Amino acid sequence: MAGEPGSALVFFKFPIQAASLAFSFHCSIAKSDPHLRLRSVDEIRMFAEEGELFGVRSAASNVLALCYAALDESSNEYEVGGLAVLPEVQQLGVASVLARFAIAHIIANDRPWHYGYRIVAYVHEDNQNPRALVDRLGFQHIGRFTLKNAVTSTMKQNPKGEVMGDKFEFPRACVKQLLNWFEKEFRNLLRDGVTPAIVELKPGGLQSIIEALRQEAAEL
Amino acid sequence: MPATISRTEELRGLLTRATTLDVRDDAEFQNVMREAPGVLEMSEKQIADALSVSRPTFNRWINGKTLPHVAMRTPAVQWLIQELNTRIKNRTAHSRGSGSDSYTYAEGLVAMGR
Repeated sequence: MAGEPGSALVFFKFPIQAASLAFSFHCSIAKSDPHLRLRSVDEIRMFAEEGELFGVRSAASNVLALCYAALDESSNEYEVGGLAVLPEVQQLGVASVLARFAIAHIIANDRPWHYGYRIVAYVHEDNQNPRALVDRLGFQHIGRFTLKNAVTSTMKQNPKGEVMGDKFEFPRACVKQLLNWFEKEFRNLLRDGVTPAIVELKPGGLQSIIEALRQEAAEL
Repeated sequence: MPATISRTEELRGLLTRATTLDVRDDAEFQNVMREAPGVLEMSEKQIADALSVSRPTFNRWINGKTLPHVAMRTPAVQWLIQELNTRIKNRTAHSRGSGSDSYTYAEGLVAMGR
């Protein structure tokens, strides 16, 4: 499904017109992943219809990965979550690029700290897979969370019927680290050093995002 | 009797403001973007998609709740200028044939959802 070895993967913001495709992909992954919450089906559908999803596709336009980045105005938090990557491309570091892309997009277009918002991520207590990535991105552990009324039956619950996990925050001080990654480490190639990673972003392209990160870093 | 304005004049008016816009000026950027859906006759969702932002993000821009970094404003305004120019060009070509370049101001307000 990922296409020929070495063929480019495209990182993009899911267009609102493709909401149903994004939603189908999320559901297909979430069904078999007991940790992938933490949002109800209706919430994911809403993210798709509002254009709050970021994705990765193959040259043949197959969806390979997805995550959302959305503001919860009641808590003043932008949450990056729902990160789901097909097994066949997991070794390429797709999640790492996609998450950075989503965070950078928030910083560039919403300037969260300027308006009193923060960027957070939630990880299920039994889900070890994303913790190294969350740490590498610069997120800091800020506490625990408990969902007393689990939103879907597929989510792993403790004996009390609760879903528990950890809450992380992406601190503003890590903008420089993120900028450094885009400027010096991301060479438009994935981890294998062969597969091109193309960031597709109208109208200004990745360069405008990087310039925005520079502006943010300069304000620190 | 309602005042009559040229549709092309409306497009040209926003074009002038967009081309002379100082993107570092928060209020100017917000005002120009706020007028874009009505003048372009596009929904917030359509414009958000064109600018690769979410509909809520674009909505926050035009309501002044949040604004993007200056680096993101320039390509957004350039896109707007291109859209306005395309519409002006199309209308100019069309009106040469039909002479129907005017509409009432009241109709314009309805089209903008006011």
